[in-house]
Amino acid sequence: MTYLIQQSLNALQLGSVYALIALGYTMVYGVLTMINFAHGDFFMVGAFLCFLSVARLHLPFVPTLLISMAGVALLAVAVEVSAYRPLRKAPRVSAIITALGVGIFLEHFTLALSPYPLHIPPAFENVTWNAGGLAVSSLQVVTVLLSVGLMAALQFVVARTPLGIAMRAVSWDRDTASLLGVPVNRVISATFAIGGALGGAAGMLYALSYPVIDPYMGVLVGWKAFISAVVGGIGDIRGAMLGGYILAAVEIAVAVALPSTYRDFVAFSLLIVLLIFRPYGIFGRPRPQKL
Amino acid sequence: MSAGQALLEVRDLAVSYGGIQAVKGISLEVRQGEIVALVGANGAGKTSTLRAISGLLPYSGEIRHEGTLLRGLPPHRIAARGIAHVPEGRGIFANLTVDENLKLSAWPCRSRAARDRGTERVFALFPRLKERLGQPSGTLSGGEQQMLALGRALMSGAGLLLLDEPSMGLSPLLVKEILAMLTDINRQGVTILLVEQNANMALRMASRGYVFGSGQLELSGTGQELLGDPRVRKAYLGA
Amino acid sequence: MTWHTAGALFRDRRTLYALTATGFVLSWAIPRFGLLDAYVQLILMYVGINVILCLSLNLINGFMGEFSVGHAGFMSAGAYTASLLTVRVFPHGVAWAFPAACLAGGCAAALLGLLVALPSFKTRGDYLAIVTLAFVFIVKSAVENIDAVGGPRGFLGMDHLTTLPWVFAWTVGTVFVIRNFIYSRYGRGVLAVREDETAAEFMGVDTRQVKVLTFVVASFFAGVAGALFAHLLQYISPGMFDIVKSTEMLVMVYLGGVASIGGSLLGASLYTVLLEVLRPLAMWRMVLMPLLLVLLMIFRPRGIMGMREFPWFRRRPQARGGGRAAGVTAAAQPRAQVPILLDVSGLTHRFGGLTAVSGFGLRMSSSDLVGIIGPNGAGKTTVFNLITGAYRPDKGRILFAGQDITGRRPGEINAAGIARTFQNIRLFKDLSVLDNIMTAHYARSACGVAEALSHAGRYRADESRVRDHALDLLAFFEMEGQASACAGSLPYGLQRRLEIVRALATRPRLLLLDEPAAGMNPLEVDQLMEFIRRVRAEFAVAILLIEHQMRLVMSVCERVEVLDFGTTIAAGTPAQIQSHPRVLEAYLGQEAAS
Repeated sequence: MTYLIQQSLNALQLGSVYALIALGYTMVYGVLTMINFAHGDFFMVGAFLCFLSVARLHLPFVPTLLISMAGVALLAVAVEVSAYRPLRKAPRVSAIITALGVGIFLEHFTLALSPYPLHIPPAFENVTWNAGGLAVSSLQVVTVLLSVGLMAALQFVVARTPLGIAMRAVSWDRDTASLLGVPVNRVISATFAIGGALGGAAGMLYALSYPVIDPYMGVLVGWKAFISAVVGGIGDIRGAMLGGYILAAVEIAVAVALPSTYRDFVAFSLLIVLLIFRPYGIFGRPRPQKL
Repeated sequence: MSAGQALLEVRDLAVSYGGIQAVKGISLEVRQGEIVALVGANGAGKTSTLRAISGLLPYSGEIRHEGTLLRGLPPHRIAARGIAHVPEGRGIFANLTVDENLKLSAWPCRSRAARDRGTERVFALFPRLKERLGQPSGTLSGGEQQMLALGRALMSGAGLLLLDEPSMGLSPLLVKEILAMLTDINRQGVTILLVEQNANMALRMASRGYVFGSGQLELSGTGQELLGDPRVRKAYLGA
Repeated sequence: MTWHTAGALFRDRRTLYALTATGFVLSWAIPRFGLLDAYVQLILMYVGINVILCLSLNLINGFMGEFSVGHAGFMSAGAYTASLLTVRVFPHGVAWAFPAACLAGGCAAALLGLLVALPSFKTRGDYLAIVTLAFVFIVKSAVENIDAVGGPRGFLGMDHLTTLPWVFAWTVGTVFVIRNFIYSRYGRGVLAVREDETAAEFMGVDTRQVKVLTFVVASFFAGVAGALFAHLLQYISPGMFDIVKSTEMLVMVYLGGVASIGGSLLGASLYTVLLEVLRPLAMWRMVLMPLLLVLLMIFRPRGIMGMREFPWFRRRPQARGGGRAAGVTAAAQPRAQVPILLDVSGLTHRFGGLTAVSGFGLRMSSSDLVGIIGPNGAGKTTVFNLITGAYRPDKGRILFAGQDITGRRPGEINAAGIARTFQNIRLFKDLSVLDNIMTAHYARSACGVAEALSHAGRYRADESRVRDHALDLLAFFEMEGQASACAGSLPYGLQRRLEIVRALATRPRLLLLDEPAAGMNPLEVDQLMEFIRRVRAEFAVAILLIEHQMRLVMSVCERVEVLDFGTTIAAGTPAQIQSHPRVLEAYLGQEAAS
């Protein structure tokens, strides 16, 4: 029983990170129907910014968080404006390839600057509480609480603020939104900034939890977060959150029941099975096709 | 603004997209306080004209609003000048609630007071919207959606409404209701440029009308003149 | 040598044959006499393997326009299968072992390709990308868990069997087979799926068959490339075939250019060589490469050779076959007559809460010319979509020539004898006029898969029969002159007309035209009216048309049905309709009637 709870806690920790990254994929898909394949690398940049802040500048937790979030948000907007915006009317595949290109660029740019895996010192003293055989670390608590807090904040922005309303309107019909005076380009940039900031936060939390980082770390984690978004129904914000926790739960459950090397195999097979029965994910719905 | 100047002036407008020349050099003007109707059969270029005015389609020719050239302005800047475009099919954001649809169009309003004035005005015109504020707008009936679209356009305090087929898909009774509302709105000082297939309805309420045929203007005149003109009927039914 | 003669050589196919022959000799002579140092030979072999990968991926992503990232998985399957065979199963040192292992590797990959093709039936674009992505992870993870092939540690023990002649032979073979495939009936289906999958289905292209074949062919060659790769490196591990490998292939495809054989040769060579040339930049070369790719996408979104082809790989200019074909009109192809061709009753369809069509009924005989008019949103196009199988009706029955076709798939309904055009022209815009028509012959072509891949057997006879028929059809409508023009470049009126001709190529008994005169000027409308009359008379088809241009409806239709709110509100001759009070009301508004 304690073992089960212990594993659930681990799933919650990992799921929080997946969910935060998945939100970035899903938000961009929502407004642009574009898969931003560079997003996993945004996450990686967040982890490296965390290293910079903690190991080099010796800054405490909160400034580090702000640096990671703001830095990645800026990066996401810069990429959107310089690489994606010129392609908005080009074939969709060009945008996807560009996103892959941006991702490879970020990986190797980071690699060129920092060729060896880095070890991140703890940003705060990590206390572990033991109670009845259950071990809970302060890092776990911070990770889960901060993620939930950020998701709640996002939910508030999307549901309540003018920007959130505009984002949903742009995702429904860009042209009509512009007719009502919504500056579509600025809304899209804001979407990238928010998605980037969440990715940055995820990068930092991940780096603190699993403190060895390298430039390729965003590939596998990023793809998995993307899968989470798909499981939930890409474009749907609740779906991305739920998907993140589902994927983490599945991965941890597989690791418990089977040799851990089966983790990816089962997780991705389940994805395909899910897509066969619910091709648009848990919350996703197809738009009717017009002939 | 000088007395003789038109609120909206379109000169030699030509629009083409997807290989079709939809509009082939038309000129028209809309004066302050008017209701101007653009009528004509489907595919005659009426919608393209509206879309060019609001900056959604590239064009050649000149479009001026209050004497200023609109060319090169993005749609949201044109909207911010007080030109509100209700597109064909109403353009309701079905994923937003009624309230959110209304709030969205208040985007250009900077002050809270202006926003509140807009809201009050809209509720005065369409009390039914007030009852449905929290409802997802996709669940509204066709008539209510049209009211929402009109209300939304008025939220920002626009002085010029571009309406694309407000009667589409509505029952005759509802069409009458909408028509009465448009007259009301116009009396409050809002200028209206109306695109309609339902020619008689449009021309009866319009101060002036333009009859489109295959991307060109075939006729123009006051609403009353055109109403009795057999050529209008011919433009539609070919007889 | 002047540029002119150089150009002529470049266009002459014999140059290609000569080059290929020289290539074979060189590929044998270079290692034999050590003409190039071992490092350069290695690069050449990588170029060849990458060409195979790039071209086969281009088949799916470029020619068919899907977005698959699964190639690393196929490559892995080929590499492991072939390696297992040469190391554990086949006797060492025998000559046939390596080619057999390559073939087996290809077949193993093709089997997986078959599996991956299945989800592509339902989903397109982004979701196929997701499925293939998951596929790559699954293959990698599966291999990692098989101890017999070394698990995550990898597998070794392969002899250095991949040699320059083998790589060259497989590369030439891949180019040959894939080019053959593209210039066959299936290849036209592949391009049609890319251009407009929905329209392709309505034109009788079996899109499922096309997708399965394309995935199988493409994954086969990816498997072969994997086999070559394994026996060149003599060591493989699951980590080599991860998503990064797929990304690398995507880069080659989009660098060289989508839907281009020449582009794939160029892209793979350029990428492989550039990476070597830039080696002094060390880590920075992988920073530079993606930057170049991003710039390329912004300025040339379809790649260097996108949608274009080297003259060598273009289709051979074809002369018309032996004399005129039997003829295209109805006189040449008589068919049994039925008293009632189409019998629709009680048809109802809802979108969410909105009832678009409610209780619609219609009967047509095999020579009727009926018009459907009605205001915007009256449900006219929905009726067409129900009849042609785009939507499944909520209620009602559709009988065609006595056969119940309610709820069948568009392809089956087309095969039964109903063809249509679309409100917004849905031609295969990037294909030639002739290819548009030939694509519509898909269902009646006799050419089998093996014949399509080899261009042997019935291929030639079948191709020339289809081509002649298509040309005759074009000639009949005086469009032969435009046969090689790109459909999207035709003037608007001609595009509308071509869409009708394409529908006729499927030999329908009922033709559904959705706003054929939309966007036409009065002169074009006049020509169209003549055209429609002629089609009906010469092809013995019944015609049902939706139109807003009353002049056309009133002059060509014998009967007019008026739709409003999804039901027929009036029906009769054009003259009756024009003065019908409910019609005037629906069109001009209430007061017009009084």
